[in-house]
Parts: sequence; structure tokens; C-alpha cells
Amino acid sequence: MSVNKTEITEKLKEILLSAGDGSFESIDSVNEQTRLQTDLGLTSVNMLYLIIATEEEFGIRFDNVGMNEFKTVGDVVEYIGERLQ
Amino acid sequence: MSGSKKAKLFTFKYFFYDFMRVTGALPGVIWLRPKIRYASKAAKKRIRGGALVISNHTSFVDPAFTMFVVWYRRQFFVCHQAFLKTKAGPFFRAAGCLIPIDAENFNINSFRVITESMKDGKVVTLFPEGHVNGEGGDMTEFKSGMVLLSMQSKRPVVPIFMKPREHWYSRLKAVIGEPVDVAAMCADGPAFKKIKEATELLRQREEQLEEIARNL
Repeated sequence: MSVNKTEITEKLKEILLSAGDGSFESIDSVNEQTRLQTDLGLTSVNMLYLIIATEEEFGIRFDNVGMNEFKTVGDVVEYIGERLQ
Repeated sequence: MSGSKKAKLFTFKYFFYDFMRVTGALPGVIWLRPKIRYASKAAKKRIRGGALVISNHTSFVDPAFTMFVVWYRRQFFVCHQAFLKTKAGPFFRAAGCLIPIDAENFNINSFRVITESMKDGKVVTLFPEGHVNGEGGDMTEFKSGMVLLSMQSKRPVVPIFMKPREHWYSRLKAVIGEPVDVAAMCADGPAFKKIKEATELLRQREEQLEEIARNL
């Protein structure tokens, strides 16, 4: 399955919309540098939801990763990209 | 109650745990004299198969007390990794009744271990406040992780409320609530908003049980 980074980011934005509390000002302003916990205010439970939803959306399985290991949206995009290869 | 797979009644893996439960049962019943009430007729139905039991948390011995509330099932407790470093930690670990998690950096594998346990027909018990609320007063905010666990395992959440004991010799008084099918609540797209709503509902259920417990 070949999905480019832009596609992954767009799909991830949709997941982020449902993973958050709906308090984001605008999902369009989210980019790879956006920090998940400080900028988007995601808690560990939000992160857990994000991982579960990402697994279902992309058909991948996350390895033994901790919730704090993904600092930015870019980290998640990169990880998904690696798993899809 | 849902949860298609039944846990085995006896297995050598939990011999030490079962031994502990059986030998501790009589002295525990004499000491605690459990008084258990049910919120409704539906709550009286015994838990069959996997389930997630949630309870308020006012003392460090609450896990032992829940064993007297849901006495007929072997329970597995979600605990902080730090608990394993306490004096009692290795003892309970040897019994095989703990599922340790890293609360600071929660791990996806821990999540899978808990959901798989419930799918395998085990009863997992956790305290959604996430800490001992020994100060009395209202229950603190519930964490939403329990909803995700129930949703992913498709097993019900059974709320129980244990009335805080005033003295070491006080009776154990508890109320068991109706099981909540969280998976059904979040069936049409499990957006985080729904998860928050389910968390709030479970907290309300706990408060209702607290109200019943006041009159015990």
C-alpha cells in the first residue's frame, strides 16, 4: 500500500478532529510541526483513541509504544508511513 | 450479562491467587461482614464472562474489598507500576492478579493486555479516579480510559460503590449497579465526544449508587 505523506496527514487530521474535544480553533492550521499535547491539548486518553482510530483507518498495528513517544503530528505521520512500507 | 467466553473455574496458573481467596474468605467475611445491595433487579444478575468492574477508591485496601463484593469471580486489578515496588507488590504479582500500567506514559500494549483479558472472559477491576481519594467528600473526575477499554473489548462496565468505612471494624457496605453496555453507546462512530459522554454517564451511575449507599 503506497500512501504519501500528504494523504496520511489529511487522514490523520480527520482522526484528530474526532480524537479531540472539539476545542480546536481550526484543524486546517494543523501541520507536521503541531505538538499533540501542548498545541492540541491531547491527553493520554485522547492519544490512546488516536492510536486506535489510526490503526483502524490505516489497517496497521502500532508496536509497543508509549503515549508520550509521539510529540508532534509529524511523528505520527512518519510512524504510519514506516508501517505502511 | 454479555461476554461470550467464560473464564475457567480452576487453573494452576492462578492456584496461589485462588488459595489466597479461599483461605482469606472466612476471616474476611467475619471481619468485614459484607452488606451488599443492588441498584435494581437487573443489577442482581451475576457477572458472566468478561466485564470491567469500576469502583470509587477511598483506601489502599479497596482491591481486597472488591473481592468481597464480586466474591464469586476472580478479579484482575489494573494498578500503577509503582505499586509493584511496594512491600505488597511482589506478593500480589506472584498471585497473578495485577495488570500493571505506566500511568505517566501509558503503553498501547498494556491497553491490549487489558482488553484481551476481558475478551478471554476475565473480570478486570479498576478505579477510574486513578488515585486513592482518601480525603472524603465527592468522587474526583473519572478518567475516560475505562470507556475505551470497554468499547474495544465489547464487554460491559459494572459500577460498584463501596461506602467509606469509618473504623477498621466497620462493616463493608457496597452497592452494585446495572451493567452499562458502553460499546453499544459508541456504536455509531466512536468520536471522543461520545467517550466523554459515556464517562459522564458512568460517573452519574456511581453517584446514584453513592446515594443508595448513604442509607445502608
